[in-house]
Amino acid sequence: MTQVHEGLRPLRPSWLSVGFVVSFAVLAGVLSLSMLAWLPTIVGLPAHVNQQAPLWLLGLFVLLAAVSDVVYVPVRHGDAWEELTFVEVVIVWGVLILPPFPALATALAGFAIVALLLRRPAVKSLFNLGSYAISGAALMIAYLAIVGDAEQFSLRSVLGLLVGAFVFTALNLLMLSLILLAAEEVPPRELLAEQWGMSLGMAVGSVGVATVALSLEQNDPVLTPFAALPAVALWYAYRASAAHAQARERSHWLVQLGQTVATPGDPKVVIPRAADALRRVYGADEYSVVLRSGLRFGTDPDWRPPDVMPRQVLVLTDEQLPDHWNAGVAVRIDEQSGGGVLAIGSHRQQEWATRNLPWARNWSLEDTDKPALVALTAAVGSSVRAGQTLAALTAETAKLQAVVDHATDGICVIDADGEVVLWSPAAAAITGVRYPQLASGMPDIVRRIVSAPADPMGVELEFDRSDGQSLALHVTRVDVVASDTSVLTIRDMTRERRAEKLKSDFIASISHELRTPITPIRGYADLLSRRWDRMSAEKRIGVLETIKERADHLTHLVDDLLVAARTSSDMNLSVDMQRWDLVDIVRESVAGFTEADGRVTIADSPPMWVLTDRTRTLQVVSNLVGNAIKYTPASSPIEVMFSRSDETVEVAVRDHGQGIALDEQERVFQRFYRIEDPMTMRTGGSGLGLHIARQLAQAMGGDVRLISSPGDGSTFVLQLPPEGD
Amino acid sequence: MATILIVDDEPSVLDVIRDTLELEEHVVIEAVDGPSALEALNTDELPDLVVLDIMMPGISGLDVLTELRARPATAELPVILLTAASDDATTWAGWSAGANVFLPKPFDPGALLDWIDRVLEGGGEMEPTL
Repeated sequence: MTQVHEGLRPLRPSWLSVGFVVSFAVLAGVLSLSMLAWLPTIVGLPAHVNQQAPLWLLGLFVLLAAVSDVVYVPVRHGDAWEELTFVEVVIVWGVLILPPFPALATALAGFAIVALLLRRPAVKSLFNLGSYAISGAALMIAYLAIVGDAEQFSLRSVLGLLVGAFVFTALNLLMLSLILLAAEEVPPRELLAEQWGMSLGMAVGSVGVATVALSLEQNDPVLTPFAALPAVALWYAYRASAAHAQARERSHWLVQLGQTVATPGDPKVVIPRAADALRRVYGADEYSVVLRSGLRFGTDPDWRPPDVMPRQVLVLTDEQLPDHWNAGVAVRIDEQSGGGVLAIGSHRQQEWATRNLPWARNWSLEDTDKPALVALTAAVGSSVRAGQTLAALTAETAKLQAVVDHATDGICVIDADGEVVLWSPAAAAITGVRYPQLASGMPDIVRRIVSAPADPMGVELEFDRSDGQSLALHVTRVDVVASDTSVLTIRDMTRERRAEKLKSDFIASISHELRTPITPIRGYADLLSRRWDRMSAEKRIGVLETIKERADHLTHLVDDLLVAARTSSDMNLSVDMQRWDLVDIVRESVAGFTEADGRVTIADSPPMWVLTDRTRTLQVVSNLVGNAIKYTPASSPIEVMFSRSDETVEVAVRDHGQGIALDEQERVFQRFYRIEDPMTMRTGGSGLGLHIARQLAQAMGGDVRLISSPGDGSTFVLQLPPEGD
Repeated sequence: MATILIVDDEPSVLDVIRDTLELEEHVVIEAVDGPSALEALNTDELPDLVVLDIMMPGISGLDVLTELRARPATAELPVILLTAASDDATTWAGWSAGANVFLPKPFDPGALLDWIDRVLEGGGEMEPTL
């Protein structure tokens, strides 16, 4: 006979499921009991049944049922307990001598009295009573249906009892599996596979004990106490069964514990999971863990653990136990941040029976289990240490990953075989080769990078890009002997090299521009001083005019340099803004280019009033027209046109030269930028003209923009803010 | 008196060199860029010396000098290089190309005449100084 008692932890699934099962048990139990009251009128009763049982007999059965319910062997299912009892024996006995209804009713009364006396929870008791009523009624119906008018100890009656006991067992198992499924999610198949053999044995044993005891009582009353011998055998069978179930439970939770400690992680996850598995391994109800790092787990957050020596299993005294515990042991748990204490134990029992009956489940740890508990706790500590190490490694890796991901220099790591094992986003951005592309072969640029020699100063590599520009990379390689890898850093030096080239070109250009006009000045000055007498007067005048013109050219150049210096040093360009006619300024500017010899045509236009600085505007227009003259063939015409809108007045200088490629169009406005190689440039110049033109225009609230395409000439447009006519 | 080819794209520089040389009775031939210089030297009547500017449009003076040294007829022709660029790379490129004398602009006309005399006498060979 089995009955289920709620475990000490709350039932995990919703109350609805458990409530449904309990309601069903109670309802079906009441119906079954009612049916038994009518049964004798339908099938009749065997002659050996005491039709009018005396009250003392009924009272005796109530007492026997109560005793059989108290003497039990507990078997754990998760956090629920199954209690193996002798209830079945009493019911079989009752069937043999009492009518069905009193037989079952007295048994149920006995159980109910025990439930009340021991203050068992109402829900559990109702389920157990309902379950007994169903299975007990089924036993009696099966027995009466088979026995008919047979003798009390005939073969037929024994068969009837056996069939009835089997039906009783089957229904009881069914109800047990239903409530365990609802309460603990124990799979019914698992429970049935575990229990059916023992249950059948119990059924046969119950029939045997009941019939033998009754036979002795009727024939040789003196020998009746010997009927207890099979009962004792049955008791030990129960104990063996409970031990077997406990071993299965322990194996299951050892596996769970093994899985938990084998996957190191966050101590906040691993420790409670491992501690819960550990307490289940030893059949304990509770666990509590306190680490010196401050972390606490378990049911008593205020527990102050005692000092526990390494490898010691300390049996906790009442003062050392956590709240609401009645027994427990503590072991030391080692982890990196200083260790701690783990305790497992049992909850203080609420029921009188479990608190006082010697066979009830008073938890304690066997001496033979202590070494294993120490070892398992050490394994938990190791797992936590591993988790902490892993977490530290992960944190370090995350930092390194952040460095790799966000470093502006490319980072590449190659293994001993020369294979790229790390290719940072910056490396991909610099080279244009993404890491997945490396799987299908190493492009030339990557091959050259990874072939760079290990030189602390690094090496400079140059590549031709598909857009015609060159790519300059500075690659530093460090061979890491310990890991048999090489770390390469890749710095894109293209901008620096371009800036250096710009500077170098500028120095070459400006040197040429400054030295060239000084050459005739100095040369003629020397000639005049040394060969004055050999030179004609006309020659002297021509020479002096050359000196003056070259000196003016130098002055102009120095002015340009000063303007450029101001634009690069956050010094405001001073402008004197007044109302001027842009057409008039343009005509004055073009008139200064006497060498242009009629190449420049100015479109007819009415006055275009603008708000501007006249001198600065003259300089801008001169730069634009001068550029057009310099960079186009002598026979090529240059047109100057005007346009006006509400927002701007524009003067456009259009030439028919070779034009400027799109990627050069913004660069021509950079300081010192020259499209030509300074060694072979066809035209002189500092590379400042367009830069100065744009800076001055912007200082006057306008701008200079470029419209050009190779082979189709260029048009530079000066925009200025309009002023009313 | 010598026949000297002067090559420079800047008219005022060309003028002052020409005047300097003519006042010393030298015969001056002028060229304003590399191609016209090479054309002027593509003849049996070679000048005695060439004064050659480096930075010129199209073909630089260094290219002209390299071409001259490659031609058997002009391989030994004395060349004085003039340049407004005075960086080490340009100077070294001038010596490498086979210049006899390397004069940075602005130059002293007297020094130019001295170097012309020394080169024409066969002793003029300036040591490179970087």
